[in-house]
Amino acid sequence: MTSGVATAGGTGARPWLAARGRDRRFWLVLGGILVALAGAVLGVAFGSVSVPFGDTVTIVVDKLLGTHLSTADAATQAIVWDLRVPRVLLAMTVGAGLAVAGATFQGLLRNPLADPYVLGTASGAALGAAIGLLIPLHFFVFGFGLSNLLAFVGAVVSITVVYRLARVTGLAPLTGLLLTGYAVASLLAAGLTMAMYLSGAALRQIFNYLLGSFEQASWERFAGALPIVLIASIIIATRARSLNGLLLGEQAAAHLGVNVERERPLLLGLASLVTAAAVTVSGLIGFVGLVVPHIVRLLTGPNARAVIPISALWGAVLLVYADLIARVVGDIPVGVVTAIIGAPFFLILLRRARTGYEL
Amino acid sequence: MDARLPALRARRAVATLAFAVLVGACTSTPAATPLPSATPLPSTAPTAVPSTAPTAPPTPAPTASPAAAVFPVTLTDDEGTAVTIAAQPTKIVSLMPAATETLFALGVGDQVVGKAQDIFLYPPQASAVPDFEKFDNGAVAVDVEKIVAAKADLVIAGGNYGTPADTIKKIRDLGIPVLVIYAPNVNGVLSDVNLIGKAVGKAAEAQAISARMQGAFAAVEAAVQNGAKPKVYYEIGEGYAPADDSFTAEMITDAGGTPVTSGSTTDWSLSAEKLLKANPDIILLADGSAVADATKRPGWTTMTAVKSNAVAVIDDTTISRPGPRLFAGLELLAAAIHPDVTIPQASPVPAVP
Amino acid sequence: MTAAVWLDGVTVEARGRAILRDVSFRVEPGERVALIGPNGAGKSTLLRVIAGVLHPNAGRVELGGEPVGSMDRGTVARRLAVVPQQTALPFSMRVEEVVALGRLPHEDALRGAQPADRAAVAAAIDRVGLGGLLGRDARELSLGERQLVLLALAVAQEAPTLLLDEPTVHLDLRHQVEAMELMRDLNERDGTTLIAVLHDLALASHFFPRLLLLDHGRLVADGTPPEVLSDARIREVFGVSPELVRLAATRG
Repeated sequence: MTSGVATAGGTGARPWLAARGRDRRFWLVLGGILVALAGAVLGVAFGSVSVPFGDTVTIVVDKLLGTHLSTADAATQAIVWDLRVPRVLLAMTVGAGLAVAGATFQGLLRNPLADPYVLGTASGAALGAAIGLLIPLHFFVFGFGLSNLLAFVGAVVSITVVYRLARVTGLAPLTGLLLTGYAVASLLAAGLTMAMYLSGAALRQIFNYLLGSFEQASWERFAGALPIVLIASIIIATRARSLNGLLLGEQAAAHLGVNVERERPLLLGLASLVTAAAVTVSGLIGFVGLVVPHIVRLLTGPNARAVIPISALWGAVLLVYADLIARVVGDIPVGVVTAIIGAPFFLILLRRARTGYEL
Repeated sequence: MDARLPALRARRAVATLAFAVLVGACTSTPAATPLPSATPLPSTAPTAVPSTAPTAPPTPAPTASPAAAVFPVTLTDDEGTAVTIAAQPTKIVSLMPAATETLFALGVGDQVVGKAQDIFLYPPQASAVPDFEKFDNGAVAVDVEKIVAAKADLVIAGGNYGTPADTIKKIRDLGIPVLVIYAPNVNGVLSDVNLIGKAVGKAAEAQAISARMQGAFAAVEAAVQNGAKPKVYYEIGEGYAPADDSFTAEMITDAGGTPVTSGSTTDWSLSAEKLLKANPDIILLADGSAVADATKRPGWTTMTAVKSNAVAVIDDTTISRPGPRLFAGLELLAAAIHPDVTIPQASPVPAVP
Repeated sequence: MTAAVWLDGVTVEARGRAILRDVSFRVEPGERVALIGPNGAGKSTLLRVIAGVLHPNAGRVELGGEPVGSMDRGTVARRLAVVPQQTALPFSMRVEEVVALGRLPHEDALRGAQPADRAAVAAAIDRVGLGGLLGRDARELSLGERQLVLLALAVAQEAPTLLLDEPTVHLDLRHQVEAMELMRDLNERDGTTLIAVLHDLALASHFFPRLLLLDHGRLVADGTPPEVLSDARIREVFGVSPELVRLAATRG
């Protein structure tokens, strides 16, 4: 693919100057789509109740094309179309969103250890959800309960607070963001512990939320999450140029024509919105946002034009398979599965980082 | 009437058998010592099955035997431990809400000096008793110092992790007798009432109560015996169902229903897919969920219960509490499962302060 | 002729201190100017003002006749390329990928790098002589090699004016000279206007026909090396014996 050292002093187009592994990107995209489709099929075909594959196919075809091929009973149809299909779609949406958010935060903060939750989003969402479970107010709109709504609010409020506070510090913007994010997250975590302390019986529900799950997936939740994740991710993808400029730092980015004062809050806001939406529908699922962008970057180079969409694709793949495993093995929270898959990958990555990470 | 007695005895036998199977198959409490078979119902107790008259006349309690003749007594608690109670207890601590109810029903409420915190407190008089046990983040916290300071001479604790095992050991090490109760089935509840009665010197009163409870059970079971046994999903939480052979499952069966269970004796989870497949005829929401919210869950509209509007909220307290009001729980369940049948309502066991 | 860079009465204050005081000068297109002065004189601040990332408290800054404050960052980037002292790389990047960043101001926002961009990158790499480092991870390079990569990045930007902030600080003597010769070449062959902050007075006086001397935020001298680096000046501004500087200069 790429040849070795080229002779210096010559001119003319050289194959090695093509963006790293154009072939590779092609295979990553094609492979990702195929694997994702396979994952979707498997995800709809398998579950805690066994449904013959033929029935699965006819049910899906019926719903999509309005035909009446299926002979399955109403319960089976509901299982396939109302439970499994939205669950698979939601898992892919959340996986894609988390991967894009993770890639964006890593680029913005120039920190390879950043994940979507780095600026307090996770703690804010968890605290919001916990408070929602404690308040005896009852509320169920469009598939979302009070606890979901407060989780979203919590995520958005905490990132806003972090951003505002960070500007007040005298530190460089990125350092300020990271440190403030850490401080606010700690504060929120204390609040969460207090809420858990007071929760009594709701504790189990709070734990379930913290570990993440797609048990409550439904068409409504999918319809709620998809627009935010899709639109925000597309906008982020179109700002790939800014993300690339930021690779060498904010000063260098400014010299390369990036309007840092505008792009930084814009990208932060979009990535946080995506994270908040993901966390609202499925709780806190870790490792997707951290590991997927890294692996993609290893394979495609740091060009955000490739990293963002390919991370989205493979984030979707990871989560749809993780959820499938979680379901089939039985009642393991999906966050545990992603950790089991993600942690070894991450360790391998760290070993391969020859020169270590610089900030 | 008499024809029903063998059926009743048969049901009891099945329950005892099921219980024995549960003990054999039980793997969720590896640390607990295997429970002995339930104390058989004393045949001398007046077990005359009452007619379908709604109120059974209270069996007159036998003249109170002098306490001195009964104590000291050594009882075998539900964990198989021999517990010696030297004298009639005057300072009782109850670490299980069901035991608190039983003590008050037996007439020794005055002697209860400490109880477990209980948001569904019954009887109301019990609120005067201080809490010696609290729920801290879902974990049980017993204040042993308060128990000692109150000079308790009997502590009633819960088996199967109802009260932490090391707490029980700690209290016993301090020389205070601890009676551990655990009722995995309806039979066990009756025998626990009698056990507690013997421990506090109110054996006769306990017999009366358990007899009344038995009678009430029988009346309910008789009322629903011949009808259909609809499939009942009893929701104790979204994604959960009663475990096979569990207390709750037995209650549902006794109330004339066919319980939708989790498929396992140890795991209480039931996926939404399996629930849809099971297609219950009746859904009882015992976890505080609202009917309107539950029926909106994905796929629920395909279930018979939802289509025929047979989804209802039910108060779980008397159904799951293994105490003297259990028959009221059974009546409630039966009425919810068989709304077309008149379920005999036994008069409540009076709480004696 | 419109000046490539024009400053008039520029003053920058921070925390009550004046970092730049009333600085005024013109740089014509095609000039090669070195900005010299002791530490803390305000040289880097002046570069930032010229690049438009720092707005002065008073005075005017114009690039090619237009006030830099009224231009958007993209336009500035097409007029002016900056070579910073160093930069940290959090992610592994190949040399050619770093250099390719120089094309950002020219890249189509949606379609990314086009063949013309790739050709410019190749040309920049050749120009700076980085051919031997192709495919290497930029984080593994020596500081001097990294400096050259940043220089190639700026060359790829194809801006008419180049600002360099201490471009030789990590290089050994031979590479310093090579870098200086490269800069002279860029200026004389391509006509790139060059403004370089230098701390090495000997190199500055040898390779740059015009020196701007900054001291405590003021432009105290502007002219040819002999004019600017008089004995008195050296003693007064730098606090060292003029012999030291003279000695190095004659060796060239």
